[in-house]
Amino acid sequence: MVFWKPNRIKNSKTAHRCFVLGLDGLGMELLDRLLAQGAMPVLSELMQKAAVSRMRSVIPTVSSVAWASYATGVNPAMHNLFGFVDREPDPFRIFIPNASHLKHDTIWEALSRAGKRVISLNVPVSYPPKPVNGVMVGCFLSPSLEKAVHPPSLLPLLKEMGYSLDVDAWKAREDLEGFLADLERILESRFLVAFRLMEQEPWDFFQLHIMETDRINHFLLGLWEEKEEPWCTRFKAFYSRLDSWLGRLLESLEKLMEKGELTLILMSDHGFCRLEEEFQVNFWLEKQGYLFFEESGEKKLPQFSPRTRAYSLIPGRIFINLRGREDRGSVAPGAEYESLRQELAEALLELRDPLSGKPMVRKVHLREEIYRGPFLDRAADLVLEPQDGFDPKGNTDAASITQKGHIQGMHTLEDAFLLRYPGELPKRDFRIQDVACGIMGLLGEPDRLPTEGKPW
Amino acid sequence: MQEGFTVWFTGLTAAGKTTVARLVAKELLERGFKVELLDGDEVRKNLSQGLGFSKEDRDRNVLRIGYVCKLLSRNGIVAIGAAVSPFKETRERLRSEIGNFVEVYVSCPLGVCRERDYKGIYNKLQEGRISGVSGVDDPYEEPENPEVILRTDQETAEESAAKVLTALEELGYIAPRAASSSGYSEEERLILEKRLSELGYI
Repeated sequence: MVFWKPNRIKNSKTAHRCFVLGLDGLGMELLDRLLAQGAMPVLSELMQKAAVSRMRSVIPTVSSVAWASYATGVNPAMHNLFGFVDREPDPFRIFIPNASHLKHDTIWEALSRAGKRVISLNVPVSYPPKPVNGVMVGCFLSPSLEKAVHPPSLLPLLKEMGYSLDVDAWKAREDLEGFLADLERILESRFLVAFRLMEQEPWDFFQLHIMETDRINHFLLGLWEEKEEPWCTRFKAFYSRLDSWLGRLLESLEKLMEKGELTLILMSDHGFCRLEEEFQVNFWLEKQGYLFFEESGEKKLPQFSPRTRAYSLIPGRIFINLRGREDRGSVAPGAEYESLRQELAEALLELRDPLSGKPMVRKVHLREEIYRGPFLDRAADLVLEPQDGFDPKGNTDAASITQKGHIQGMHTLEDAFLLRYPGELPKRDFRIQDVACGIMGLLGEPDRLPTEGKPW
Repeated sequence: MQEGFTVWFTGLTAAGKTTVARLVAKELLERGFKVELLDGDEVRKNLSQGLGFSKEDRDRNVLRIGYVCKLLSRNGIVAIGAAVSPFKETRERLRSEIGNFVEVYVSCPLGVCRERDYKGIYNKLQEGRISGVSGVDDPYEEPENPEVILRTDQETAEESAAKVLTALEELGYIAPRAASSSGYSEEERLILEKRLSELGYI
């Protein structure tokens, strides 16, 4: 019942602290290219002296699942977050999961219980904010800033400082200049709020999450790669601005790091690549005779016909319409289910982009191959790993198997990064769920959070 | 066994302790907690039957209520104590013995309490029928560092209850209201769907 044991001593006596700067969607490959262009001199210098490792994200590679895996240190079948949308099979219902659906403790809860002061700003899937021992400001899954802030007494400060939950992505279609101006303003307010909280609040663990990197990559990556001006210069300038903020952050943490009292971690949750085509999985399922809609009803997933054998939720999660599990299930468990999964997997691997002839799907995973845990039965039966450039979508109103949208960048799996300074990282393949274990260890509480990671 | 906690209301007679405590208890029950309200006057009718109003007896009454709160708290129940509990030393003893202890000072000027005088205590004192009323002819030691201070002469009972609940949220004893419900309202869902759709996430 008690979320964390209240502690009248505001922060613990253990000296070591940790600051995590999350840079959403800033992959290693993109980072290398930006550094090569001289866009981020501060980060470049930091990387010379810090320990840096490439890191594998999660499948499906979306921020909500990736950061949930980071915060809990476990895979999706252990924490129960599988995408930005999810479904209940019976009665069928589509919903947007949030932190209340997480079934595993997070770093901030575990540290709060240990009496550590925690500050977390904007980390995906932190709405509703937990009543941590410290401050938690929810992410863009918060319906309003008013509901995103713990403790609520901090709300006036955030409003006064112009803090926003997220940029208005619609602007990117109509007013790219305005969109970029908003991004830079929001970036500034995030850092300024962080600096203020660093000063006025005691803290052992601080996490600042920058979402704006993901947003600019989604909408401007292609323009940067095509060297289309003025956007190419503006894209680079945005990252230089971010680099300046990083410089100010390093200055404010410098003394603590020099005294060996603080470890800085920089990390991203996935990489980015150019989006060539959106792959409309439900269109393909419908054309292949796996998905049917009631003729009289709306063409939306909740209205699929009982003849349906499979349907998909973004990105590339395919659910078998399994009898006994789904409210209008048609596929028998056992051999029929297994053979349908096999049939779909083979067909998807054979699929080619009609325009370029390129394969669109790199791998098709059976859920039990990539997930392990008590919520495995909530996962999609098949999960696609797309080829770079082909982003699986879940629309039910698409007019063709592939289409170009207004979004220019898509996420990549193998290309997240992890940086630690000062200190070393072990030479091994990192997964995003390995980070929590390291952080708990740095703060002297390795046993407070059961994770799948190894200590570092 | 998960831990509970104790919310302790202290203040002058007729300051509003029982009124606010009942509202807080009702809300916690609605949020799914197991709650017991131990009102000083009620307890005198059973657990403390026979006790008088000497300093020793009043202290004894408070300590008995506190002891029950301790037992309830350690068994996962939210115990709410509402008693004048005029002595700082006694309240501090409860704090240290119970552990998960939230002190709520129900502050109200004596004049306002006299006007309210629901139980006729102040009237009886004025008529000389009783003596030893805290804050009048007997001391009431104000809490120095309570978790919550209510101003019941300036706030409605609902506002006071909301202050207590907010403090419980901020102290980490209970989840914020939003976290109690897993979903979004219809309006919020539409906001979120639009936001995610513009990002190509749904």
